[in-house]
Amino acid sequence: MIRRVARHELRLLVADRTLLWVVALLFVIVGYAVLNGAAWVRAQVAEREEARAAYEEKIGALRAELGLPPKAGGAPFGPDPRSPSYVGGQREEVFLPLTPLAGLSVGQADLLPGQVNASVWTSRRMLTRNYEAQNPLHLLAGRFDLAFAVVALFPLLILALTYNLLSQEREEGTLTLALSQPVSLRTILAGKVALRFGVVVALSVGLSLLGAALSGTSFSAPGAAARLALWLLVAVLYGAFWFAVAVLVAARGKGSAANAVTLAAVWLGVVVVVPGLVNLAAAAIHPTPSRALLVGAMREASNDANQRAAQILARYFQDHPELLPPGQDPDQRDFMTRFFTVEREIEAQVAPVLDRHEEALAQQQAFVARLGFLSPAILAQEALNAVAGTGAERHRRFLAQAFAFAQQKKGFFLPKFFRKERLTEADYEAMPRFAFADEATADVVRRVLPALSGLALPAAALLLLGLARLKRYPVVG
Amino acid sequence: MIATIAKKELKEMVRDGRFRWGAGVALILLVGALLSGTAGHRRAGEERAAARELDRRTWIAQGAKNPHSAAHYGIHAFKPDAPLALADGGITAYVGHTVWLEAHWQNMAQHRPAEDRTAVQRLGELTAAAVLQLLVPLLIVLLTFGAFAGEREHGTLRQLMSLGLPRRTLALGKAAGVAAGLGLLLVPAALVGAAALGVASAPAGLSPSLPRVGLMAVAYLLYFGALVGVSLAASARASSARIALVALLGFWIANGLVMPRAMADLSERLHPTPSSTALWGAMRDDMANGLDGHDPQDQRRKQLEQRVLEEHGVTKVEELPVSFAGIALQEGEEYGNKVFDKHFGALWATYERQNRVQLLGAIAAPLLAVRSASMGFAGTDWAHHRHFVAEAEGYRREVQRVLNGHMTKNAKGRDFDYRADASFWETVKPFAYESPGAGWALGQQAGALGLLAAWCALGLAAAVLAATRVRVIGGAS
Repeated sequence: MIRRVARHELRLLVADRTLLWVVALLFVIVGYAVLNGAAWVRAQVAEREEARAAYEEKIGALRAELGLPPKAGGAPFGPDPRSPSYVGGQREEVFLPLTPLAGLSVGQADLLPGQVNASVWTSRRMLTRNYEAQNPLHLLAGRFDLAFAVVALFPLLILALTYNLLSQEREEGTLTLALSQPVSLRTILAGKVALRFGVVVALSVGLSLLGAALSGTSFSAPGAAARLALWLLVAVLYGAFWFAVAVLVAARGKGSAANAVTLAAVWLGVVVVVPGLVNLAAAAIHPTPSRALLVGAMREASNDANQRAAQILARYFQDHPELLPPGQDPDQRDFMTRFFTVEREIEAQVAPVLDRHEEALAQQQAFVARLGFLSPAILAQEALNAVAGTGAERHRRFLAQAFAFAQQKKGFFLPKFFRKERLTEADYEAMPRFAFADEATADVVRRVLPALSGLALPAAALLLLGLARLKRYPVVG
Repeated sequence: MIATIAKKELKEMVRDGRFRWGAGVALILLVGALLSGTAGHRRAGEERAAARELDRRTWIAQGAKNPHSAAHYGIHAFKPDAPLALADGGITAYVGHTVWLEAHWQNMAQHRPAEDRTAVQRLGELTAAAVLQLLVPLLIVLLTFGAFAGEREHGTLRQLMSLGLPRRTLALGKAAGVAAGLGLLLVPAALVGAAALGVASAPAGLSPSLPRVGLMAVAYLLYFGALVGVSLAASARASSARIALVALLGFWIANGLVMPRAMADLSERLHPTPSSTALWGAMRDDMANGLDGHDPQDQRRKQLEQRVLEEHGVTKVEELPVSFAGIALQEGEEYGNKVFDKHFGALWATYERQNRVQLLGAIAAPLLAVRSASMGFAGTDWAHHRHFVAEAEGYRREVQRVLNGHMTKNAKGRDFDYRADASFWETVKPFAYESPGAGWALGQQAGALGLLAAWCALGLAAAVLAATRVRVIGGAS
């Protein structure tokens, strides 16, 4: 019976041309969103390739020079293919790799620099400095990507299809007619919802896949299929939430216009007002720890270490006699020897301050994450970012690995520098290389799971409430 | 007569539950946003003041050291939070508030508050500006969509016309009624806002901000006038109240939700922002190989040496009465300044071109014009940020001149081994920033205000025109 109702509905929708409009609009929105995402991905890929090529070229040129006799009288900081501090000090930009879905949800990737210059000069306290080249107005407005279309616009299309689920038939008088047949109100509603839900799911799945394909997603890349499946699951559950809202509103038995206003108000609350209130609450209850004061703490550590530079240097070589060239005393006058030993001390002093800051930040963000359950829009946005690999967690993971890589480079080059060793062909071969250890698919699933239940449970609850309410539906009058 | 109509409209509105709810919620959100903005502003102010004091203290306490080491230690410029940021934060969360002023490099402003928050921030902040730009227009739509179409459907329009009432008068009366209804919401909010501003700008008091507040008020009144006009026109033109509502909701969504993002992406496509890798790569390249690509750094240094030797009529650097290292450092700064002016100038020009494209979007979406004007008058837009960054950079250049001048004069024969006295740092005067006045902001926002004025004039004209042609009978289906 449900199928028969659904088939009938399909004919009505097609004849009504509402569906046609919705589909056309959906195509325009998804098309624009996907093109934007693809353009963003292209720019990102180009930047990564440019940076990679620049580094490879530089190191390759240095390596080629190894065979030539050393130049006499080079400047202390000047090009020297055998100097551990010079080669280890070369800029090597390492990047957070893009997932195959990155173009679908730019997420936080345009804000949080997914780039670190890893060299022996790298310090934790200035890990992502000077990468903020985006127009701030664009960051404020946000991207017109598929995630935005899903989170903000997709519900509006669903509401346009569902605000008059039962009310229209009642207003036109056909509802009593239909119910005079051996069919329950529940079945009619189920048929109408099933058809619309089917159409919306088919369209969103189809368009998402098409969009992913158009934006150059390689479906065979590792993890791509799983991420894509999760993406679709989030989108479908989020859609289901809005259908459940529509069912509940329809079951209240008000007219089409009143339903439209109620649904618009719910949309406004979920997509605009609650996220805004969550921001306000977070700022009031859990203010972000101050970066400005953090700067001061770092400067104090730096002053302190610099004033004790001579002692720090001496103590360092007492602790690490193996790093002294045989039979030599530490060179107090050498700028770089001083710099690297003092820098080590500053980083050690600053580490607990940074740890505390990051801890406070993590608490604040965890608080906001809990508040996210107040709005399915927040959950969906965060989940889509996580699935596309453009969320905050993956970025933190990258920063940790990039910093560890810089430390690895320091561990490789600095002992050679202190021992005044010269680099050889074998050292060039053994130089550390950066490879991002991406999160496992299971981790992504685990991270998205709370959001999925946070979407599914309210959807189910609203649906049950709606069905209960349907028993008291005023068919006449 | 206009007053009578307005009074009737207002009475009807106040009695309407939807208006009471809508205006009540908007008022609560507006007041909440203002209070939260005040708290945030005060916290930011206290933090920055403390950080500024700490930065100065650490600068003075750095002890005896080489002026160039001090130049690398650097000074931080902390951007003051504009008092009106409590009403409109503008791009504040997406630009850094700290600039590290060090030797050799013009750094980007770092510590963008949004980086420390979660993706919820990107769904939109609930500021007074957001309520005024997004929610009040929705209220206007709900208040006006039935103004003509509704009266026609109820048959009262026919009665009104039979009284010989000029339609223009009716349109103006309706507009005045809506304005009075909005006044019920906006006047108390403005009073709370003024009080909050008074508290926020405690030492200076309210009066320095008043011209900016006045300009902001003008921008919003023009915006609301435009929306009232457009809505009344739609109500008069539409064949039914339902169609007027749907069309106006569509306009509201396009204006508030779709256009800001769509225009941001479009402007980025038309005027691409360089990647930070490309930007800094080009700057490093210009430093190393010269602005014209044929003037490498070592050659520039040799030429400088020759010139200085000739100026002093000596043949060897050791014979100079001053420190050549100091001269070379300053020369390096001067060259760097040219490179920074070229590349940051180009980057900022790109932002400004992008922002102009977005402002042009205001031809279709007035929100883009009021957003620009509002943050411009609040002092939280790109122009104000650029002003601060440019002043900070000017100060950096001045500090470098002082430090290198000191080195040149005092470090003869010792160069980098010279240590300036611990008391020297106090003679470097601290950074004092004066933000530009309201007149300057008005100059920046003349285009946006012009667009708003045009929207307002055309909107009201359209309302009057549509009213004179409104169909009195039929149309309701």
